[in-house]
Formats: sequence, C-alpha cells, structure tokens
Amino acid sequence: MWRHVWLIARLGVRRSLRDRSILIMALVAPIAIAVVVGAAFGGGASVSATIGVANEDRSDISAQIAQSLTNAGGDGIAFATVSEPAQIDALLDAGTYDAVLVLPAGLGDAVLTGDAADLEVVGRAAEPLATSIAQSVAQGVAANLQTARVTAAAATTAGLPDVGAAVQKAVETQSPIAVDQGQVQGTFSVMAYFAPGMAMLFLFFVIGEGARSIVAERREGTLQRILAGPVSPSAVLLGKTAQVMIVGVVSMSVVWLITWLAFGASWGDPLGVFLVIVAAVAAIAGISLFITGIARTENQADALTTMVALLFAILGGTFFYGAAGPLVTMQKFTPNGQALAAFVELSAAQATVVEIAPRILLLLGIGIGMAAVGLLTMRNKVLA
Amino acid sequence: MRTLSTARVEWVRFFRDRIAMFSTIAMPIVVVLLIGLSFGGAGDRLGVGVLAPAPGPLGQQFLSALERSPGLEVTTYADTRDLYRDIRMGLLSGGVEVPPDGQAVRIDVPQTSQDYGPLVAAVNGVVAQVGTRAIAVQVLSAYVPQAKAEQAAAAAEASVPSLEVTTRTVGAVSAMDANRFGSAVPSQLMLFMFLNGLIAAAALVQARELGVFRRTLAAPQGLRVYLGGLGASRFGIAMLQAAILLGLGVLSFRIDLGAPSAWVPLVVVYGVICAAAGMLLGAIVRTPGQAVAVAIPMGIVFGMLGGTMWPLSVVSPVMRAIGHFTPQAWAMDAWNLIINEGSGFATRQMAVLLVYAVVLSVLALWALGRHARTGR
Repeated sequence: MWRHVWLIARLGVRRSLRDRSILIMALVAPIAIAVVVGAAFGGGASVSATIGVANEDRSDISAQIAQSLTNAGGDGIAFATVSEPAQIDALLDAGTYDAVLVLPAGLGDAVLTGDAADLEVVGRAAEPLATSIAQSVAQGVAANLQTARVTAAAATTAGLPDVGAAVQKAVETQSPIAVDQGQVQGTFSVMAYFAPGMAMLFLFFVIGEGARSIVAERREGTLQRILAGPVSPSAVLLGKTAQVMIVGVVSMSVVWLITWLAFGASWGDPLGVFLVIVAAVAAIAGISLFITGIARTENQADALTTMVALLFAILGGTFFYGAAGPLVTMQKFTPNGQALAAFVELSAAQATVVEIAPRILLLLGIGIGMAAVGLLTMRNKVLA
Repeated sequence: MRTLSTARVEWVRFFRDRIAMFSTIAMPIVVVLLIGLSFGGAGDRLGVGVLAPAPGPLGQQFLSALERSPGLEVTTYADTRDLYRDIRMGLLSGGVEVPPDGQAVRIDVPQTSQDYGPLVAAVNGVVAQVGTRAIAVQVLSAYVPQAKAEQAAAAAEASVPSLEVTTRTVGAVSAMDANRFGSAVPSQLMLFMFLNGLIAAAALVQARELGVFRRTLAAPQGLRVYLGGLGASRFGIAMLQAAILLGLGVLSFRIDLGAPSAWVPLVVVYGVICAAAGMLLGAIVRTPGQAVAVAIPMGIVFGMLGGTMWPLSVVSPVMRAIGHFTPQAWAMDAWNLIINEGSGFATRQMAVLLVYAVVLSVLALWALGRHARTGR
C-alpha cells in the first residue's frame, strides 16, 4: 500500500511543479510581496523632530536653559534657537521647526520669587508627535526649575544665609534617579513577517486545489480507473494528502531559504522554523481536506477555500503589521495567526523550539483533526 | 441597448457568484472596519514599553510620571523577551526598565535605530519630575538639621505653585488624519477596486476557453457589442463597490470626501482603469487558475507600491518614485489633494489616470479582439 501512496504523491508533486500558477502563488507572490515591504520599511520607521527654543526672557537662568537644550540634541532630535520669537507661527508653518518651546518673559524672576509662570509649547497640528515630544521636554525643564523654586522657598523658610548658593547647588544636584542607556541586540526584518504570512495565504489556494483534485479526478474518470486496479481507496487519499504536504512544506521552505539567504531576513532558529512550517502546512492541508470533504461540489469547495483563505488572512494579521485592538484577539483564533505568532517568536523574540512547542502542537492538532474528518467524509462520498 | 443587455447578463452572473460578492462587498468593509478600529489614533506619541517587576517608592513616582508624560504612550510588559521582541519589531520606540530604587533606570533602544533622541529626551523630562523635594532636602540639610530641612522643603513644595506647560497648535490636522476612517475608506477602495477588477479576469478566461468570444463573431450584434457590454458590466461592478464603500464612509463614519466635482471623476476614471486592467489580464493568461494566481499578488503588490496599504509619505523617495508607476499612487495623491487640501479637481493626477485608462482600455480591447479573430 505504501508504494501506492508514494507513487500517487510523487505524481501529484511532479504535476504541481509543472503548474505555473502554483509556482507563482507558492513562491513568486510571497517573495515579491515580502521584498516590496522590505524595500519600503527596511530602514525601520524613523522619527526626527526639530524643536525651536524661543527665549523671550532676558535672565541668565533662561539663557542657561536655552543653552543646555541646544546642546542636548542629537540622534533624531535637534534643538535650535529661534532668532525671531515674533515669527514663531510663520516659522512653524514654513516647516523650519516641528514645534517651539517658549521661555516666557519673566521666567528667570519667577524662579526666585516663586510666582506662577507658564512655559509654552507651540506645535503644528499636522505634527502631533513632535508637539508631544516638545511637551515632554518642556515638562522636564519646568520640573528642573520647580526644584530650584522649591529649594529657594525652603531655604528662605529655614533662614539660610545665602539662598542663591542653595539654589545653585539644587540646580547642580543630580536627580535621585540615574538613567543608563542600552541597546537591544538582534535585528528583525519585516520580511520575516510578511514572507511567511503571505506564503500561508497563498498556500490555502495551492493546497486547496490539490485537495480538490481528488474530486476533479472522480469527475474526469481517472479515479475510477485507479481504483479498478489493486489500489485501495485509503492509498489514494493518503497519497493526495502526502502530495499537498510535500508541495506545501517544500514551497514554504524555499520562500524561507530565499528570503533568509538572498535577502538576509532571518526567521530565527532553523529547526524551529522548519517545524512551524510543517505544522502550519499540516493545519492548512487539514482545513483544505475538511472543506473539500464537506463541500457538495467542486465549485463550492473552491469558493469556500477562497473565502476561508482571505478571511483567515485578514483576521490572522497577514496584512496588518503591529496592529492593536480587536485584531490581536482575533489573530489567536486563526491557524495562520497562530503560525505567524510562532514565526515572530522565533525571529523577533529569539525564542527556542521548546518555547513555541505549544503553538506547533496546536497547529498539528488542528491539521490532524480536520484532515481526519475531511478524509473520512471524502472516503464515503468520493470513493464509494 | 444591446451593449446594456450584454452588461446585464454579466451582472446577473456576478451576483450569482458568492465569492465575487464576498471579495467585492464584504471584504473591503471588514478591512476598513478593522483598520479603523485597530490603527486609529496612533502616531502622535512615542510607543514605549515598561518593565518594572519590583519598583521602589521612587520607581513608583517615576512610573506614574512616565504614564502622564504627554510624549509617551506607555505599555507595561511582564517579560523581557516580549519587550525586546516588540522593540526589535519596531512596534515600540524603545523600552524603559525600572529596577529597585538605587539602581539606574535603563532606556533600551533598538540596535538598528539611529534616532532614539526623542525617546531619551522625553524620558529625561520625566526623570526631572522625580525628586524635587528630595533634592531640596539634600541641599538644605548641609546647612540645617535634617528634620528642619524636611519640614521646610515640605512647606515650600506645598506653597510654591508648579510651573505649568501650556500648548497651542498652529495650522490644521489634515482631514484624513482627523477621522480614523478618513484615509482607510479611500485607500481600501483603491486597493479593492483594482484587486476585484483583476480577479474578474478569471471569469473572462473561462469565457475564452468556452469560445464565447469567437462565437460572438458569428452573432448579429458582433464582437464590439459584446466587448462593450463586458466592459460596462465590469465598470458597473467597480462603481457599485465604490458606491457602497464611499456611502458607508460618508453615512457611518462621517467622512468629508470634499468636492464631488473632484472625487466623482476620480472614481469613474479609476473604475475604467480597474475594468480595463482585468480585461487585459483576462486576455493574456491561459487558465482561470493562472488568472487568480496573478491577480491576487499583483493587486496586493500594486496596492503596496501605490500607497493604499501605507501612505507613500513614509517610504523613501526611490520607493515613492517606483510607486508612481502604478495608477494607485496617482489616485491616492488625488484623494490627498481632494480630501486634505480641498482641491476642486486634481488636474495633474487626473490627466495621468486618464492616460492609464485610455491605454489599458485600448490594449484590452485589442487583445480580446485579437483572441476572438485568431483564437489565441
């Protein structure tokens, strides 16, 4: 029997390799789409803000603040002195600055007197990010000044002889919280997200067609001829199942190897990646066999496969990178969403095989369960 | 009249096809809803992940100041691995790890990022807010007893009004940014009109396989009427799709589409492009399977390049230039002008789209005519 299974599978695989539409969907499409996304976002999203500092105050304190801010820029944020504070709105409109921090007249005095004073941030409505960053910076400046003000007031209350010296000391004292900076090692390419996601979407079409080919062969009469020989119906079904599994695993592995070796997008631990590929293909094959089994006609199976593929792709996050909200929840309920999560764990979280084992088992479970139901119904219906 | 009755027959065929109905009507609506619900409101603050398993009192103070920071969108993580995963994926600008008091807070930036300055500046702004009283006490206790210093600092902190930061903005938020569905509806419409136009090629190949085109040569009304009807039906489906999606956008999501004198011609010309592209594809490929195999990836790739899945303003100039080989990019530029800038007619974009429409229509009619005459 196993020889028959193998013969049927081998013939099916060979026929798939000759089919240009299968090559386009299983290999060209996912790689092309991943390359386009990689080219668009390969450099990562970049943030850069130029924040103007408009000093309308003439005190030493304000000059110091402005000076320390303009020295503090770098790496995507720049502070520049606004030479004409009267022109702030026009300069923002012209795009010279993304936001402006205004040190108002009387600020220096307010530090010593403790009188109320406001810092102002002027932003462009079209640049909300730069505006909110400028607000954060302004709050920092305000907090530093507040420390000086509180110290001055406390020094006066406590009857210190030299309030100015105490304020100076307060300004020089570091915050009780120190800040270190570290890098998160390891890179991630968006291609390692879109290549497997798209490959799974198109595998639904490729594998679906493979599963339907049993029904097609019955219609064309070849199936009856095969069964007239010494071949058992189980051998035919297993052979077809093996065929779709081989086509799926091989094509997805090729997508993986090309995006990894030719385009440098690492998918993570190779053993883990291979196991997720096998599990994902098993789940997709199981669903396809199930659909073919329950559908009344070939056309209905075709229609259902397309709908399921597109619906799963949308809900599973194939098109949406880094979505929040309801999508994240729905992703968990689709097999491709689970597989995509496993791929992301391997590549971006640098997970080990053991850590993603639950997802692999879940996918295999879906695949085997669905395939069992599908194959049994098909055996009764098609091969009877 | 005959052209219209041919178109009607094609329409009836379309409405019987449940997949076509699904991908034309249901899918775009689902996608627009998902995008609106899942991506709305992002982009005005820096995403930062926080890991603080056991913060001390000072750490708590720092964390609550971090949550209040106007420039930061804080997400709490329980696991370093998950935090680092989202940083590597670029879903976060960086992370902040808060250890027990006395140890330094650590800002994690991605290895690949060259522009973590804004994040560092925002976090430093937060750090400055912690410890006002502690610093005052520290300074004063050099001169007076600790208890007196603490008393004076507490009194001062209560009496000195805090410095406020006020904000005003100039200019206006673009209409597409103001309404979270404002960009989702036009962009998904451009994506799906084209995608469905291409997928329709499969049915056309079927008709070709059955010899429908060749037979029309023998029919009294001839090939011209059949091709006209075919084109009209495809165009009609695109218009139906546009009417439903735009209607949904205007009625349910209150999108202001701008001047009808601008967007109606845009949708009409784009509809012609989609119908013609699908007919051209249907004339070229050999089997219905091939048509689908080409249509779906091509629709997605063109949609990506043309800025229907993300705005072309976020990609490099090279990718933007490449994108403008697709009609989608010109259509999206036109929508930007119409919705965001209130343009009454996007002249340049419409001219380019019109060229696409004419060239694709001529090619499609020529290719199908050739097939009818030669059988190839």
